[in-house]
Amino acid sequence: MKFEEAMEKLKKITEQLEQGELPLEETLQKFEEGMKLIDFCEKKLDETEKKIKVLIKEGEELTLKDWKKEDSQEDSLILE
Amino acid sequence: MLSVSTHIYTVDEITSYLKVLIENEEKLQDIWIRGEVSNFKSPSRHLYFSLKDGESLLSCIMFQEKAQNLNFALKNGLEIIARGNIGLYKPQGRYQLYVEEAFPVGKGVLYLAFEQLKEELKKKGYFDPQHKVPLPYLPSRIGVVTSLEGAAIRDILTVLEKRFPNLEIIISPCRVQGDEASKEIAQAIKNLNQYGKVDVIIVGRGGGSFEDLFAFNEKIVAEAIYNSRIPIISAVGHEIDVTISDFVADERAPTPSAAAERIIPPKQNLVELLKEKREKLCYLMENYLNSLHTELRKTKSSPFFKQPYRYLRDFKQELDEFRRRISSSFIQRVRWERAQFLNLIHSFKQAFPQRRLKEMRERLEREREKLQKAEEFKLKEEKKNLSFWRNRLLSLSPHSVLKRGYSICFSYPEEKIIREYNQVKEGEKIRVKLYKGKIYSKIYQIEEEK
Repeated sequence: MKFEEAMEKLKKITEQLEQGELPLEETLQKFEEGMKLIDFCEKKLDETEKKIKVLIKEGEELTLKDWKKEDSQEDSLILE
Repeated sequence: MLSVSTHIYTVDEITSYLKVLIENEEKLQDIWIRGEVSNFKSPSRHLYFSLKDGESLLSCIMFQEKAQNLNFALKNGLEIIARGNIGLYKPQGRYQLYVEEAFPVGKGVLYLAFEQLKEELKKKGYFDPQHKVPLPYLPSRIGVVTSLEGAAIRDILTVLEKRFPNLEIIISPCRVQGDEASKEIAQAIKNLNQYGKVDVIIVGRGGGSFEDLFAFNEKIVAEAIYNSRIPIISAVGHEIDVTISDFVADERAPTPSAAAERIIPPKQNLVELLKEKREKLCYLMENYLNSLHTELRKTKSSPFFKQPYRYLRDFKQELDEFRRRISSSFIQRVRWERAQFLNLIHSFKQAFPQRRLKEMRERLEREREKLQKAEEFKLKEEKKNLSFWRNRLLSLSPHSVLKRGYSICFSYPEEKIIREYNQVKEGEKIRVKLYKGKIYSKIYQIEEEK
């Protein structure tokens, strides 16, 4: 699931709970689902590691190389 | 020859006529003209100059709102290409070019190419809104097509890092300036599409001259952007720079930094948003549970639950009432039915005459017996009475008194009944009559009864 999909679902659940017309069981279920979605979104925010890579095509092969600011000279060499 | 009938025009009439003539001539409207700038002056915010070549000279005016878009300085001797409309300024009786835009000649050629390509791609539908793909809200991987050396990559990385410290960024490097740049940009876009794991691509570079940015006006770049499966945000140069890639891309950002800001919301905002959502959900849940509790309490405190037996009692009573009503109506019904039945039988019996006759006879018999008995009884009673009175009479006779042991004394020989002691004296003779026989005796002693 995408982050925005989760957020959309969360919005719907919140609205439903705000109306307060659901029976108890369903309310609990929605609440739980909402909490899970929030957990999911929070996880999504943190799951990625900071990574900067440079995509290079050598012949027909695509390769990822680490990007280092200091070695930008080297990177540019790869480009040639 | 001048005659009375000759029409004499006013200057204004002729000038107005010429004005209409010129300004309605299509060949003189929206035209490109090349020439060398002379007589340049700018007394107000508008620009006045002439364009000349060989032996001809054309007055030009560029109003301030157009002039502010010039990205070069006008000066005498500069060869430019200007676009505009020929018009006539009546107060000076002068036709002139009202300039819309202008470029130095070198750039002018490029600009013409730009305009042509823009027109071509527009016709092909490259700019149509239905080809625009919305950018993802939170890309998990971001592609960047730019030079590794330029200011753009640093700006983009800085903004991204500030907004979202943990992001995966894939740079697809390319030159962004020079003859090979357009091919490299196109290839870099294709490479990212082939790699396929990025959700959005920034294509751009920092500011520069019109020529510097021109790679982003090439057809090959436009096609690469148009064919990209991954959404692309174009960020070329500064605010005022507009390139073909801006038109083709799914979105346009004024600068590379702005593009970075556009594609990712600040992480902190999202974290806070989620925190708010969590609190909101908890709050709603708590509210909901509270309302349930309140309802429950209310229900519990309702008299029904407080004194359930009271209600039960009422029910019982009601039930009894029903039972009574049902059974009484039933009994009544049965009684009534039975009465009806007996009536029926009775009237049925009555209907037979023999039976009635017999009944009458029986009744007659009964009456006679009754009468007989009454008479017998009367006779007996009278006999009884008779013997009573005889006995009574008998008991009163002296004989029966004597029989009970009493005796009667008579004086002798007078034969008077002696009742008191002073009727006789000692020595006198008396006769005593008994039940059976009599005694003659002499009084021996008298005593007075006190």
